[in-house]
Amino acid sequence: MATDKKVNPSSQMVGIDKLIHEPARYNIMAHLYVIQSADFLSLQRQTGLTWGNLSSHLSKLEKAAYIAMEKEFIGKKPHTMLHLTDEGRTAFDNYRVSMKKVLKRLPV
Amino acid sequence: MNTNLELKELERKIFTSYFNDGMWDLYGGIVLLGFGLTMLTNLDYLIVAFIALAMVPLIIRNRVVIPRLGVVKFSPERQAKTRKSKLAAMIALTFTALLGMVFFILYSANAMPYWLENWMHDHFLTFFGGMVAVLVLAAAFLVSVKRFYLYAIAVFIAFFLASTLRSQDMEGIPITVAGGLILSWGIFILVRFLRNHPQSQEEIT
Repeated sequence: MATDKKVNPSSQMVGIDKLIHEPARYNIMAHLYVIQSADFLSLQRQTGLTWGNLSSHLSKLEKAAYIAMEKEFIGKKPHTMLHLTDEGRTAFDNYRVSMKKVLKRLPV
Repeated sequence: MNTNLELKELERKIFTSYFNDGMWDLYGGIVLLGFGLTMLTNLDYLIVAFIALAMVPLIIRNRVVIPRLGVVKFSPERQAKTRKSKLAAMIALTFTALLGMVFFILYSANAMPYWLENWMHDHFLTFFGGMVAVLVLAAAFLVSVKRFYLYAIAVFIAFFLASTLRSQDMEGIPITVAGGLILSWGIFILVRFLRNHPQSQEEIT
Protein backbone atom coordinates (compact mmCIF):
# COMPACT_ATOMS: atom_id res chain seq x y z
CA MET A 1 0.00 0.00 0.00
CA ALA A 2 1.49 3.30 -1.02
CA THR A 3 1.74 5.82 1.77
CA ASP A 4 0.81 9.32 0.83
CA LYS A 5 2.89 11.67 2.97
CA LYS A 6 0.87 14.79 3.60
CA VAL A 7 2.51 17.90 4.92
CA ASN A 8 0.57 19.69 7.57
CA PRO A 9 1.16 23.39 6.87
CA SER A 10 0.53 24.40 10.47
CA SER A 11 3.24 22.02 11.73
CA GLN A 12 5.69 23.71 9.36
CA MET A 13 5.04 27.05 11.04
CA VAL A 14 6.46 26.01 14.41
CA GLY A 15 9.26 28.37 15.31
CA ILE A 16 7.95 31.22 13.20
CA ASP A 17 7.73 34.50 15.09
CA LYS A 18 3.99 35.21 15.03
CA LEU A 19 4.54 38.83 15.97
CA ILE A 20 6.50 39.48 12.79
CA HIS A 21 4.42 37.12 10.67
CA GLU A 22 1.48 39.54 10.61
CA PRO A 23 1.78 41.33 7.20
CA ALA A 24 1.51 44.89 8.53
CA ARG A 25 4.11 44.26 11.23
CA TYR A 26 6.38 42.47 8.75
CA ASN A 27 6.07 45.53 6.53
CA ILE A 28 7.04 47.85 9.40
CA MET A 29 9.94 45.63 10.46
CA ALA A 30 11.22 45.32 6.87
CA HIS A 31 11.14 49.09 6.44
CA LEU A 32 12.98 49.73 9.68
CA TYR A 33 15.44 46.92 8.88
CA VAL A 34 16.78 48.59 5.73
CA ILE A 35 17.22 52.06 7.24
CA GLN A 36 18.68 53.46 10.42
CA SER A 37 15.56 55.18 11.75
CA ALA A 38 12.40 56.91 10.60
CA ASP A 39 9.72 59.08 12.11
CA PHE A 40 6.09 58.04 12.45
CA LEU A 41 4.93 60.02 9.43
CA SER A 42 7.48 58.60 7.01
CA LEU A 43 6.73 55.10 8.21
CA GLN A 44 3.04 55.74 7.63
CA ARG A 45 3.74 57.03 4.10
CA GLN A 46 6.03 54.16 3.21
CA THR A 47 3.89 51.34 4.61
CA GLY A 48 0.53 52.78 3.56
CA LEU A 49 -0.98 52.00 6.97
CA THR A 50 -3.48 54.26 8.67
CA TRP A 51 -2.40 56.31 11.68
CA GLY A 52 -4.32 54.18 14.20
CA ASN A 53 -3.29 50.89 12.62
CA LEU A 54 0.37 51.85 12.55
CA SER A 55 0.21 53.10 16.11
CA SER A 56 -1.30 49.85 17.37
CA HIS A 57 1.27 47.67 15.55
CA LEU A 58 4.13 49.85 16.77
CA SER A 59 2.92 49.46 20.35
CA LYS A 60 3.04 45.67 20.01
CA LEU A 61 6.49 45.76 18.50
CA GLU A 62 7.69 48.15 21.17
CA LYS A 63 6.27 45.91 23.90
CA ALA A 64 8.29 43.03 22.44
CA ALA A 65 11.35 45.32 22.49
CA TYR A 66 11.74 44.93 18.71
CA ILE A 67 11.57 48.65 18.13
CA ALA A 68 12.53 51.64 20.21
CA MET A 69 11.48 55.28 20.10
CA GLU A 70 13.91 58.09 20.53
CA LYS A 71 13.14 61.76 20.97
CA GLU A 72 15.44 64.09 19.13
CA PHE A 73 15.40 67.64 17.86
CA ILE A 74 15.23 68.55 14.20
CA GLY A 75 15.88 72.25 14.19
CA LYS A 76 13.96 73.41 17.23
CA LYS A 77 11.17 70.86 16.94
CA PRO A 78 11.13 67.68 19.02
CA HIS A 79 10.81 64.61 16.87
CA THR A 80 10.20 60.95 17.62
CA MET A 81 12.35 58.61 15.60
CA LEU A 82 11.75 54.87 15.50
CA HIS A 83 14.41 52.26 15.01
CA LEU A 84 14.86 48.52 15.26
CA THR A 85 16.58 47.36 18.42
CA ASP A 86 19.35 44.75 18.20
CA GLU A 87 16.80 42.27 19.45
CA GLY A 88 14.38 43.29 16.71
CA ARG A 89 17.06 43.02 14.05
CA THR A 90 18.00 39.52 15.21
CA ALA A 91 14.34 38.52 15.39
CA PHE A 92 13.80 39.74 11.83
CA ASP A 93 16.89 37.85 10.60
CA ASN A 94 15.68 34.69 12.34
CA TYR A 95 12.19 35.13 10.92
CA ARG A 96 13.57 35.34 7.37
CA VAL A 97 15.71 32.23 7.88
CA SER A 98 12.78 30.29 9.36
CA MET A 99 10.45 31.34 6.55
CA LYS A 100 12.98 30.30 3.92
CA LYS A 101 13.19 26.87 5.55
CA VAL A 102 9.40 26.54 5.68
CA LEU A 103 9.02 27.55 2.04
CA LYS A 104 11.73 25.09 0.99
CA ARG A 105 9.96 22.23 2.76
CA LEU A 106 6.58 22.97 1.20
CA PRO A 107 5.62 20.62 -1.65
CA VAL A 108 5.50 22.32 -5.04
CA MET B 1 12.77 33.99 -3.53
CA ASN B 2 15.74 36.18 -2.78
CA THR B 3 14.80 38.19 0.28
CA ASN B 4 18.13 40.05 0.31
CA LEU B 5 17.36 41.41 -3.13
CA GLU B 6 13.85 42.37 -2.05
CA LEU B 7 15.17 44.24 0.99
CA LYS B 8 17.72 46.03 -1.19
CA GLU B 9 14.92 46.99 -3.56
CA LEU B 10 12.84 48.21 -0.61
CA GLU B 11 15.70 50.41 0.58
CA ARG B 12 16.15 51.78 -2.94
CA LYS B 13 12.39 52.47 -3.13
CA ILE B 14 12.45 54.42 0.15
CA PHE B 15 15.53 56.36 -0.99
CA THR B 16 14.11 57.30 -4.40
CA SER B 17 10.78 58.32 -2.83
CA TYR B 18 12.70 61.29 -1.45
CA PHE B 19 13.38 62.45 -5.03
CA ASN B 20 9.80 62.27 -6.23
CA ASP B 21 8.79 65.69 -4.95
CA GLY B 22 10.02 67.59 -8.03
CA MET B 23 12.48 69.74 -6.08
CA TRP B 24 15.56 68.84 -8.11
CA ASP B 25 13.56 69.31 -11.29
CA LEU B 26 12.45 72.78 -10.15
CA TYR B 27 16.00 73.68 -9.15
CA GLY B 28 17.56 72.53 -12.42
CA GLY B 29 14.74 73.99 -14.50
CA ILE B 30 15.03 77.43 -12.89
CA VAL B 31 18.82 77.59 -13.33
CA LEU B 32 18.62 76.43 -16.95
CA LEU B 33 15.77 78.83 -17.71
CA GLY B 34 17.76 81.68 -16.16
CA PHE B 35 20.77 80.74 -18.23
CA GLY B 36 18.74 80.66 -21.45
CA LEU B 37 16.88 83.92 -20.76
CA THR B 38 20.14 85.68 -19.88
CA MET B 39 21.55 84.60 -23.24
CA LEU B 40 18.39 85.69 -25.05
CA THR B 41 18.09 89.10 -23.42
CA ASN B 42 21.78 89.84 -22.73
CA LEU B 43 20.73 91.03 -19.27
CA ASP B 44 23.53 89.59 -17.13
CA TYR B 45 21.79 90.25 -13.82
CA LEU B 46 19.01 87.85 -14.81
CA ILE B 47 21.18 84.80 -14.09
CA VAL B 48 21.88 86.13 -10.56
CA ALA B 49 18.14 86.65 -10.03
CA PHE B 50 17.38 83.13 -11.26
CA ILE B 51 20.09 81.57 -9.08
CA ALA B 52 18.51 83.35 -6.11
CA LEU B 53 15.11 82.08 -7.28
CA ALA B 54 16.54 78.56 -7.39
CA MET B 55 16.71 78.68 -3.58
CA VAL B 56 12.89 78.61 -3.49
CA PRO B 57 12.72 74.80 -3.97
CA LEU B 58 14.97 74.42 -0.92
CA ILE B 59 12.51 76.46 1.16
CA ILE B 60 9.57 74.51 -0.29
CA ARG B 61 11.34 71.25 0.58
CA ASN B 62 11.83 72.21 4.22
CA ARG B 63 8.45 73.86 4.76
CA VAL B 64 6.11 71.85 2.51
CA VAL B 65 7.66 68.53 1.50
CA ILE B 66 9.33 67.24 4.68
CA PRO B 67 6.23 67.83 6.87
CA ARG B 68 4.28 65.68 4.40
CA LEU B 69 6.90 63.01 3.80
CA GLY B 70 8.48 62.60 7.21
CA VAL B 71 12.10 62.08 8.14
CA VAL B 72 14.22 59.04 7.38
CA LYS B 73 17.80 58.39 8.44
CA PHE B 74 19.33 55.97 6.02
CA SER B 75 21.77 53.20 6.87
CA PRO B 76 25.43 54.12 7.49
CA GLU B 77 26.31 52.43 4.16
CA ARG B 78 23.82 54.60 2.28
CA GLN B 79 25.01 57.69 4.16
CA ALA B 80 28.62 56.88 3.23
CA LYS B 81 27.58 56.40 -0.41
CA THR B 82 25.74 59.75 -0.37
CA ARG B 83 28.77 61.48 1.18
CA LYS B 84 31.04 60.02 -1.52
CA SER B 85 28.60 61.11 -4.24
CA LYS B 86 28.49 64.65 -2.84
CA LEU B 87 32.28 64.73 -2.69
CA ALA B 88 32.52 63.52 -6.30
CA ALA B 89 30.01 66.18 -7.38
CA MET B 90 31.96 68.87 -5.49
CA ILE B 91 35.23 67.79 -7.14
CA ALA B 92 33.59 67.78 -10.59
CA LEU B 93 32.07 71.23 -9.99
CA THR B 94 35.35 72.64 -8.67
CA PHE B 95 37.19 71.19 -11.67
CA THR B 96 34.64 72.74 -14.05
CA ALA B 97 34.85 76.10 -12.25
CA LEU B 98 38.68 76.05 -12.28
CA LEU B 99 38.72 75.17 -15.96
CA GLY B 100 36.32 78.04 -16.66
CA MET B 101 38.49 80.39 -14.61
CA VAL B 102 41.66 79.36 -16.48
CA PHE B 103 39.92 79.94 -19.81
CA PHE B 104 38.60 83.30 -18.60
CA ILE B 105 42.04 84.45 -17.39
CA LEU B 106 43.72 83.29 -20.61
CA TYR B 107 41.03 85.01 -22.66
CA SER B 108 41.18 88.27 -20.64
CA ALA B 109 44.97 88.41 -20.86
CA ASN B 110 44.89 87.71 -24.58
CA ALA B 111 47.09 84.74 -23.81
CA MET B 112 44.82 82.09 -25.21
CA PRO B 113 46.32 80.20 -28.14
CA TYR B 114 44.62 81.08 -31.39
CA TRP B 115 43.48 77.53 -32.09
CA LEU B 116 41.98 77.24 -28.60
CA GLU B 117 40.21 80.56 -28.93
CA ASN B 118 38.75 79.43 -32.23
CA TRP B 119 37.72 76.10 -30.79
CA MET B 120 36.16 77.74 -27.75
CA HIS B 121 34.29 80.16 -29.96
CA ASP B 122 32.81 77.34 -32.02
CA HIS B 123 32.31 74.61 -29.44
CA PHE B 124 32.29 76.11 -25.96
CA LEU B 125 28.55 75.73 -25.47
CA THR B 126 28.62 72.08 -26.60
CA PHE B 127 31.58 71.44 -24.29
CA PHE B 128 29.87 73.16 -21.36
CA GLY B 129 26.57 71.38 -22.05
CA GLY B 130 28.45 68.07 -22.19
CA MET B 131 29.98 68.70 -18.77
CA VAL B 132 26.62 69.65 -17.25
CA ALA B 133 25.03 66.60 -18.89
CA VAL B 134 27.70 64.33 -17.38
CA LEU B 135 26.95 65.78 -13.94
CA VAL B 136 23.21 65.18 -14.42
CA LEU B 137 23.93 61.65 -15.68
CA ALA B 138 26.03 60.94 -12.60
CA ALA B 139 23.21 62.24 -10.38
CA ALA B 140 20.69 60.05 -12.26
CA PHE B 141 22.87 57.00 -11.73
CA LEU B 142 23.55 57.72 -8.06
CA VAL B 143 19.97 58.41 -7.04
CA SER B 144 18.42 55.93 -9.50
CA VAL B 145 15.90 58.40 -10.87
CA LYS B 146 15.21 57.55 -14.51
CA ARG B 147 13.88 60.96 -15.60
CA PHE B 148 17.25 62.54 -14.75
CA TYR B 149 18.76 60.55 -17.64
CA LEU B 150 16.28 62.27 -19.96
CA TYR B 151 17.21 65.63 -18.46
CA ALA B 152 20.90 64.93 -19.16
CA ILE B 153 20.08 64.20 -22.81
CA ALA B 154 17.86 67.31 -22.99
CA VAL B 155 20.62 69.50 -21.54
CA PHE B 156 23.21 68.21 -23.98
CA ILE B 157 20.89 68.61 -26.99
CA ALA B 158 19.91 72.13 -25.85
CA PHE B 159 23.53 73.26 -25.54
CA PHE B 160 24.49 71.55 -28.80
CA LEU B 161 21.62 73.35 -30.60
CA ALA B 162 22.60 76.59 -28.85
CA SER B 163 26.11 76.16 -30.22
CA THR B 164 24.79 75.73 -33.77
CA LEU B 165 22.37 78.66 -33.45
CA ARG B 166 25.03 80.97 -32.05
CA SER B 167 25.77 82.62 -35.37
CA GLN B 168 22.12 83.70 -35.64
CA ASP B 169 22.07 85.11 -32.08
CA MET B 170 19.43 82.59 -31.05
CA GLU B 171 21.53 80.42 -28.77
CA GLY B 172 19.31 81.16 -25.77
CA ILE B 173 16.20 79.62 -27.32
CA PRO B 174 16.96 75.88 -26.96
CA ILE B 175 18.31 76.37 -23.43
CA THR B 176 15.24 78.40 -22.43
CA VAL B 177 12.97 75.72 -23.92
CA ALA B 178 14.83 72.90 -22.11
CA GLY B 179 14.75 74.85 -18.84
CA GLY B 180 11.05 75.60 -19.28
CA LEU B 181 10.26 71.94 -19.96
CA ILE B 182 12.20 70.69 -16.93
CA LEU B 183 10.63 73.38 -14.74
CA SER B 184 7.13 72.48 -15.97
CA TRP B 185 7.78 68.81 -15.30
CA GLY B 186 9.01 69.73 -11.81
CA ILE B 187 5.81 71.69 -11.13
CA PHE B 188 3.74 68.73 -12.38
CA ILE B 189 5.63 66.33 -10.06
CA LEU B 190 5.25 68.74 -7.12
CA VAL B 191 1.50 69.10 -7.68
CA ARG B 192 1.15 65.31 -7.95
CA PHE B 193 3.20 64.91 -4.78
CA LEU B 194 1.04 67.42 -2.86
CA ARG B 195 -2.10 65.68 -4.05
CA ASN B 196 -0.82 62.25 -3.00
CA HIS B 197 0.64 63.44 0.28
CA PRO B 198 -1.90 65.62 2.08
CA GLN B 199 -0.72 67.37 5.22
CA SER B 200 -1.08 65.01 8.14
CA GLN B 201 -3.72 66.04 10.66
CA GLU B 202 -2.02 64.11 13.44
CA GLU B 203 0.63 65.40 15.79
CA ILE B 204 3.99 64.57 14.20
CA THR B 205 5.97 64.58 17.40
